[in-house]
This record gives sequence, C-alpha cells and structure tokens, in this order.
Amino acid sequence: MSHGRVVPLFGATALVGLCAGVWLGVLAAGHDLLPRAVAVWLPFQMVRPLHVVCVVAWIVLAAYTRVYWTLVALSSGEAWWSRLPRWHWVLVVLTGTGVVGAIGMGIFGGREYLEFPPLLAVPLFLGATLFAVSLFGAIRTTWRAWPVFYWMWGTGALLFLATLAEAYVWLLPAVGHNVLADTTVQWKAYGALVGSMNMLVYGAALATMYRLVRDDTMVWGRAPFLLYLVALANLLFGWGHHTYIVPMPAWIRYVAYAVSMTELAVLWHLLRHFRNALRRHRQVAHPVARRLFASAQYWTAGNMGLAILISVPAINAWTHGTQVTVAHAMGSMIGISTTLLLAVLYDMTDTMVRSPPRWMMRLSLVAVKLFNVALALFLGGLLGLGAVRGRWLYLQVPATFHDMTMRAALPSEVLLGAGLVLAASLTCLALPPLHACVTALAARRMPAVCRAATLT
Amino acid sequence: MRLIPPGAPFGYRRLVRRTPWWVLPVCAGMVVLFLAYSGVVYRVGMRQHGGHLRGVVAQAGRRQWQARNCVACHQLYGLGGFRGPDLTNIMSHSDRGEAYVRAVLRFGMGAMPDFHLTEQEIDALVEFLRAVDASGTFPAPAVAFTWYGDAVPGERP
Repeated sequence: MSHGRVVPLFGATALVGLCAGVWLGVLAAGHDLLPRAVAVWLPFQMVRPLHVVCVVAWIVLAAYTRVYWTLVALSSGEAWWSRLPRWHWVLVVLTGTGVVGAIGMGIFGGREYLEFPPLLAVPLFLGATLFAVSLFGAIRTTWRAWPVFYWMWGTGALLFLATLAEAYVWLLPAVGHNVLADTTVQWKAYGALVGSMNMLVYGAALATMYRLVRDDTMVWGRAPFLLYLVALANLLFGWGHHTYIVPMPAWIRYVAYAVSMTELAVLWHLLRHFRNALRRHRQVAHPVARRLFASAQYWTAGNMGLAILISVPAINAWTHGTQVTVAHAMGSMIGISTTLLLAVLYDMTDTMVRSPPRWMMRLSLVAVKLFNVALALFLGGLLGLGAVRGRWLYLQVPATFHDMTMRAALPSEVLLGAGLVLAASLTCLALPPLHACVTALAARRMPAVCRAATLT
Repeated sequence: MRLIPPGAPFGYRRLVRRTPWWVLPVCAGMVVLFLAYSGVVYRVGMRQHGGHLRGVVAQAGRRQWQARNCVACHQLYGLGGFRGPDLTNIMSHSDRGEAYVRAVLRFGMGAMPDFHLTEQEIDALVEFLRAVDASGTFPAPAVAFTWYGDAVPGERP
C-alpha cells in the first residue's frame, strides 16, 4: 500500500462512521415507534452506544485524516514513521469491529460514552500512540517554527492518550468502589478527553483556513498562541461544570466556573478572523466548504451563549440532568465539530477529484441549508424537552415520570422530525468527500495530489 | 514602516514565522499545575466517605449496573441517558423505595425491559443503589442562589 493512501482510507472510514452514526441516532430517538419484534432484537441500550461510538469515531478519524494529509505531504514514503499510519488504520478497523461485535452481542462496559468492554480500549490506545509517534516523528525537527495548529495537534495527541487512560482509572478499586470519587474522576477525564479531541478538530480547521487564505497572522505570532494557551487551560481545568451537582468542595466548582467556555470564545475569534481573510480570497475556497465555515461561526456563537448560561451554577442547578445539557453537547458535536470537519474534507475533496459529479455538488449545496434549519429545530426540540424534564425534576410538575414523558410529546416529535432531516442532509453532505476518497483509493494517486495541494 | 491591515489581531507587528519563546514554558507550567490539581482532586475524591461501596454485594451490583448498560437510559447525579428517570435517590423516594425497585427489576415496566435477572443479581443491584442513595442527594432539595450566580445550600425558590 502506498504511503499516501492512508489519507483516503481514514477519510472514507470517518465518513462511513458519520453516516452510520446519524442514522443510528434517528433509530435511538424513534425507538419507541419501532415494532416490538425489532425493538427486542435491537434494544435501546444497544442502539445508543453504537450511535455514540460511530459519531465519536467520525470526529476523531476525520481530524486524523487532515493531520495525516499534512504529514504525508511533509515527507517521503521512506521516512521511518511512514508505515505507522497504515497500522493505525488497521487498529482502528479492528477496534471498530470489536466494539460493534461486543455491543451487538450485549457485552457492555457500561460507562457513559465508553460503553464497550474496557479490553477494547487497548487497541484504541495503541492506535492513538501510533498517531502521536507519527505526528512527532514527522514534525519534531522543526519545533521552533511550528504554526499554532501543530501545537494543537501535538497537545491533542498527547492529552488524548493521558485522558483515555484516566477514563479507565475506575478499574482501580480505590476509585471504582467509591461512587463519588468515580463520578468526579470520570467527568474530569471526559471533560479533558473531549477537549483533546477539540484540539485535533480546531487544529485541522485552522490548518485548512491557513491553506486557503495564507494569512500568517492566523497561525504564528502572539495572538494565536495566547488563544491556544487559553484553550489549553480550559481543556485542563474546565471540566468541573460536568459535576457541579456531585457533592464536592466548592473550590473545584469555582476553578471550573472561572475557566469555562474560553475555548469557544477562542474558536469564534479565529473563525471571525478567517471569514474576514476569506473575503479577500473568495475564489480559493470550495463553495460548500465556505458555507460550512460560515455556519460553524454562527453555531459557535450560539453554542457559546448556551454554554456560558449553563455554566453559571445557579442556572446549572436547574438544567443539569436535563436535555439542555444534551443541546449544548449536540451544538458542539454537530454545529461546530462536524461542520468544521466537513468543511475540511470538502477542501481536501477539491484536490482529490478534479471534477466531482455535478449533481452531487448541487445536492450538497442544498444540504447545507437543510442542515442548518434542521439543526436549529433539533436543538429547539432538545431545549423544549429539557424545560419539561427540568420542571419535573426540580419542581415535581407533573408528579410522575410517565406524565412528564406525555407532556414532552411535542418536543419529542420535533426532535425526531428534525433528526430525520438532519441525518438525511448530513448523508448528502458526506457523499462528495466519500466519493472523492473512494476515487482517490481506486486511482492510487494520493501522494502526488497531496504534495501538490498541501502547503504546510 | 509596515502597515497593519484592517482586522489584524494583537501582535501583528512582531510577527515572525516561529513559535514565541514563552509558549513552551507556559505549556510546561500548565501541565505541572494540572498534575498538582489532579492530585488534589483525587485526594479529595477518595476522602468522600459517603460514596463507598461497602461489601461484595454492592460491588457486584455496580458490575451488574455496567454489564446491563443501565447508564444508556438512567442517570446517577443527573449524568447518563435520559430515556428513564434518575436513580440517585430511588431507594429513599417516598413513593418508590426498595419494593418498587425490586418489582421493576424483576418484571420490567414500560420502556424498561425484563432483563431476566436472578435473585442474586437483583439483590446486588438493590445494594448498589442503596449505596448510591447514601452518598448524596440529587436534585439537591434545598438550594439558594447568590448574587454572583453560585448555588449554595438553602431554600430553592
């Protein structure tokens, strides 16, 4: 297998994960409507972890795709680390198969988000190690001149390993046999784990923005590095808002409150700067990528507002344990990370396939509009559900869980309908880059195209 | 003289294509601070006496909780899936309690499937939920809000 083929391999795997993830999400949201025989065969506790795993795989693998694109362009196939990415991909496929198989057989790890058996974290960890070694192997000699996105990728790669290990500290009896210690440590690790993935995603987005507008102020100089350090502080210390409600000393809450949400402010600033720069280089960006970057800016602003609100302990005390938190998480996962990563992949598409089918491009332009409308309704549905659940949880209105779910019928229907449109539009958006990855794999010309297209 | 383009961020004048010297020390400092902070959080977490799962039955209950992937639908301290209710204080709930929990575990109810649990598995899960119940309260029954946005023990409005 040639050196550069890992790029479309990772890209295609990520996009398959996205398509599977969004439709599994629809299946989970509409699980009550499934015929009983199907629901018994495919229970909710099986559908939800599969949905989560696929979507998280999409985020991480798409970010890896962009990083490997740069690494392949930086070196020849003879570099000592050049075989590692393909072993990484093999480990990804093995882990994915193991996770789907285990969950399909009803063997669970039973931890929020990491619902597969702990043993499968081993190949996951090994794969992430190969990624870190490849990354530092390729860029180590130029560290004095690293643009800020190299720092982000390096930080993301190392902290992903550290926080993934920390997420399994519960295996030690000292933590696992204490509910409060377990909950606190679990969410401390998850907060930083998500932060490390965000570092990879934002780094990928920044690398693409820089490739498009060639504005050095975006990736070198004092301002971007100051902003990167603010994001790093948030990653390391901003997890506490997940556990405001767990009995623990107040100072942990204050630290979290103080540093919360700075990361989103950083991203919004960078996107705004990029949009200004893009106006001067309008012709260089792929039209769908341009629209997706613009959407990401608005979703970042909206999500930042929601995140700041729910980080205030007095508001958090009403919204914690409701779908308002899910709306924040979905706003980040779909509105920001997915939008940015699709934009990144569209930018790469431009260089992989000379002329993608015209119908596909027209479809994706329509899909961007549908995606934005559906996501707004989807988040509205979640906020509605959160309001109903919050009233029940904190004011006991109505009295029973069953009555509460009855009252939540309208927002549930909005959520399911919007989810369907969202899944359809994301599938349409995934088609052109998926087509490009498959074409590049078939044509076996990835390294040359990579080298010509990448400027970093 | 170099002109600053409109919209250029702070630091544009000093721009060179290299990492500023202070980035690495600040990063290293943050990592050291993070390790110290983590150490304190772990020490504080371990000292939370209320949350201990005492006895092998409660520990077996936690294993059942995970093996059945209960977190897909249920929450503890508001963290978990939203398909079912939060179970932090289900054991001491005025209208629910142990008998109710045992009945639901044995037969299922509504969207909650019958997992065909054995008596030992039900006992273990009940013991685990009892330990969780003893560890704290969610939602906090009495919370007051300060002018600067914190939530502290007191009267919920």
